[in-house]
Amino acid sequence: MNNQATQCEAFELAALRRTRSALDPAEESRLEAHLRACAPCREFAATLEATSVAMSSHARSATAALDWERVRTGFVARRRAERNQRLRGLGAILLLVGIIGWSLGPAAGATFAALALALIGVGYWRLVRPQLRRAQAVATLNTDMLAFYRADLDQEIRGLKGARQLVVVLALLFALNAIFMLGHVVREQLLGHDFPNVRSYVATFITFALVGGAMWLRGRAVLPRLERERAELGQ
Amino acid sequence: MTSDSGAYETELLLRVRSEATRAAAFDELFIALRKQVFGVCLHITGNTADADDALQETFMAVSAGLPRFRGDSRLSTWVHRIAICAAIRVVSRRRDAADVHDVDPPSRGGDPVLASELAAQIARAMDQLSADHRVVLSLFAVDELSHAQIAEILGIPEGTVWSRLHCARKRLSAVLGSAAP
Repeated sequence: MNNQATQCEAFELAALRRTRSALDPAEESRLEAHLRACAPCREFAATLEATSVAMSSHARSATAALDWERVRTGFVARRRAERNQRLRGLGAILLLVGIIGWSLGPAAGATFAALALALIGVGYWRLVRPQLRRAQAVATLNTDMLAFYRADLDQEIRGLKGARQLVVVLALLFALNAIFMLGHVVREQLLGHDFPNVRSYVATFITFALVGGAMWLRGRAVLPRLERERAELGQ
Repeated sequence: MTSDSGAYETELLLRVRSEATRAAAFDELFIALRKQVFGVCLHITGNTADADDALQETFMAVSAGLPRFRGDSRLSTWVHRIAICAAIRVVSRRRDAADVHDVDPPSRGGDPVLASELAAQIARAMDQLSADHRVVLSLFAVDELSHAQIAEILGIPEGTVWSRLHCARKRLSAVLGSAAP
């Protein structure tokens, strides 16, 4: 029984290879002889033929109905929109840098600007450009591309989750710091001292709130989609 | 583009590398591969709207990645790999949609009504297969792709392609069988 199953499996493989003209004449005649004698293999070959024809025919008709000019202008417009989105991001960064620089003076402004640029740059690279990064990675691939795709998505999901955890930790630290700062302000007022200079603290908090908030919200929007994409790929 | 078009692809790659000829080379690449890529996307996504979306995403990524494409793989191999990723991404994005299969009646071959019905059944059955199976079946459904090219696209040996296709075919038959009235 097992021998028969193994033999049939070999002929099923041969039937598949025949669809791509990958059989030599001897294999072809062995397959023909087997198909004449074996009903399950005949059924497999018939289903194979019918489904192949249906799929090809469906693809041909759908392709014939497609408006290529619309497709062409569609992706040109999408690329333009992506570029505009990048320009808007750059504008937001420059605005942020300007606010920080104005409130803190040149040295501190430059430090915060560098930090903001680095954080937003990394966040942007991780969240907006992974498709291009993956497109570049698959160009040099010499292993199973779907296995690579799974591993790459896992890494992306881990990175996003890690970034969100970092934002939570930093938010907790900021909250603690805010409590201490508030305590300090109240104590100074009770002692009748001048109102302490909290401008740099407020500027740091605004930077964190903007960058961290953007990273958190982006992660919240992107993570479910990435997880669905990962589930789609299976194990 | 067929399996014997290696020389043409090399020549196209040279033009892609030059900024002066890149745009024209991209247009040529789009015209040469659009049908195959759309076919792969159509079978993976199961409907023309999603396939259209995946096709656009594919050529957006190709257009953005071309300046840095160094020719480590064949251009067509690279484009098909991007298309597979794009199609899977599009499916995952629209997974919540109730029924996304809008199989159009085929214009050629056999009884159009029966063929259309079967195509719709196949699209629904494909939806229940694993990504590995769906992808290999989709690539084999594109007539112009040879099994060697499919192995190259998937980055696996030819023997593995055949065995994966065999498993996918058996699974597809089983799902189609269980769905039959």
